[in-house]
Amino acid sequence: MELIQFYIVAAITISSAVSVIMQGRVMYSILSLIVTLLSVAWIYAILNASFLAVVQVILYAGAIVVLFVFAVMMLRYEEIEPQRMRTGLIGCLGLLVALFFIFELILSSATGPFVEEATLSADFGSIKSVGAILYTQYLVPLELASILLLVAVVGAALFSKRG
Amino acid sequence: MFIDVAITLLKIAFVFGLVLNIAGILGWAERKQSAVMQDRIGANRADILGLRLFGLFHPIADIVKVITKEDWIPPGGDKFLHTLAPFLALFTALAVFAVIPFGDTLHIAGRDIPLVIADLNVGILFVIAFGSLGIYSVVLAGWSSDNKYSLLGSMRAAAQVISYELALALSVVGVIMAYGSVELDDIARAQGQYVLGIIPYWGVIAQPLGFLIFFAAAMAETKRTPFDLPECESEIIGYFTEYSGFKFLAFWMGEFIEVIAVAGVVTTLYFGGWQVPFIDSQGFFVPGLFTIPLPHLLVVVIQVTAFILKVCFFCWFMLLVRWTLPRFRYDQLMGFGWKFLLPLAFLNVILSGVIFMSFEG
Amino acid sequence: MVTTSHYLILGSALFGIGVLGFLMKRNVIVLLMCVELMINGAGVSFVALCRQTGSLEGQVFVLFAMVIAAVEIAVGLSLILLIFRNRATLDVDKLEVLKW
Repeated sequence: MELIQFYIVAAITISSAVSVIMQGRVMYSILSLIVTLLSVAWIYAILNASFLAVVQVILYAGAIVVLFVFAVMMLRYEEIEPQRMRTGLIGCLGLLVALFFIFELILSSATGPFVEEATLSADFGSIKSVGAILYTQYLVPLELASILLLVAVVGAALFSKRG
Repeated sequence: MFIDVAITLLKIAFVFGLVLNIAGILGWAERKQSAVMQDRIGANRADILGLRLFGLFHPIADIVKVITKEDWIPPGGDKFLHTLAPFLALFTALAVFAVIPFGDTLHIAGRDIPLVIADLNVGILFVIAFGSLGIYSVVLAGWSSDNKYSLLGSMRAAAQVISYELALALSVVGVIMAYGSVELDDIARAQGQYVLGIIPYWGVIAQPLGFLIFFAAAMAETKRTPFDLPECESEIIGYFTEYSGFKFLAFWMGEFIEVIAVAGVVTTLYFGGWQVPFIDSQGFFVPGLFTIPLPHLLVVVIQVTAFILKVCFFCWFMLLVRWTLPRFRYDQLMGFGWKFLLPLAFLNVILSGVIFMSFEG
Repeated sequence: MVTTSHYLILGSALFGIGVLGFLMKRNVIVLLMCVELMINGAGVSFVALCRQTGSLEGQVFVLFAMVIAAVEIAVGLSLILLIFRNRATLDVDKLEVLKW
């Protein structure tokens, strides 16, 4: 049962991720990206990370990708130049490097030495448990992250004002 | 296994049947409401064999009209996305109902059936997540229409929805603080307590300011007057100008379903969900005095009915607001969201934190 | 039986597709999307190993990665808008002012 679910979600994830880079039009790339992000959220949900799954939907699919859509809508980009893949020597080199990456990663993750699988408590990955660790052990990084977000917001606003 | 699936399917059929029917009737109620408030008679012409019934057949007439209309896709537009957008609007609005509990746990034939379609442990965050996904229908509709004004309209709508989402999510934090859970089921159950023994501890008692912020922000999310700049049926060109026929109906239904969803969430978070004051699983009681035992099934039926009535009340209340208030100007709309509601929501979070801490300590 | 390896392979495949796209595509917006794919691939591996070891640190990492991604996109896209206004192109091969 879990295996079937895994293969379904893996197929959706991989095919939509491939579609992100194969699509000719940017808007369709963005839509494929949304599908990828939603299926990754599904994977998180399978992996007992329910909080992360919802944050993935809210933050990634609901906020970050909207920015992409906004950018494409503002630029009306597709009218100006079609989107192309690299070809020739550089393209072959890129393909080679990427394939090397994939091969190496898959090889190491298929064999790698693992610790024994831990037994999980019932609320593993729930909002309460993640929140507890986030606001105690990782409080300083959290505050830093919020400052980073503030800086980014100010920076983005500044850029768009100048232009 | 088989029975579980059957029960879930039954619950889905019940909830979606209810929601879609209320959405249909809301179309009629809106016309009647506007007519009453503008001193007109309103929809009353549709009849079947001379039977008019206050115009209740108008939704049927609407649907027949809309389905038989030509479905027009702009030649320069994107056919696939143009078709996808309205169904996305319907889907994201409907998905919210999966987590809204419409009754207490039903004990029947040795089974415990929680009266909610999917009892997820992320609860209210699921609602917010699908609320934020709803933006894509707006954006795609405007983009795929190949119309500058539709594009501008969809940008306006998207900016509005994103802006008010912040205040919406922040106002929910107060409720989470008050009941110590994000699960809507727990929140509804916790509202069965009583303050000072007699006042039901509903969200609106614990979070009066939070309720106002949430309701205002949620009204803006549904894109209805006074926040209906994205649509502005009569004046500005909105994002679904290039839609006709059944797809237009899908947007229209999506809007009404969003209204019902907001009413459902408001009821669950701030007005006790399925709780009826002074009725619990034991039966009807007067605090400290006596209890009249009621059969379990009757209690559940009362609670589900109470939930539906509360939802209908809030749907009606939103119609009332719609036909009472004039529309915001766009800068006022943005200013209201960012400069008023958002700081107020922050204040509400801080205030509730201080108050709950001091009560506990 | 789904093991952690399954998820790790899925994560690395996602990462690899991101790398592939990043090297092969020319449009800046799509390049940013490929970065998102890579981040998500890493996230899947993090969460899978998180379940394996039974600690929540990995999930917190992914959370921070999402914040970083949001920051990156907010700044990156506003930069792209500026570039497009000034140069009227999004092709990375044509943005070569800093090249010597």
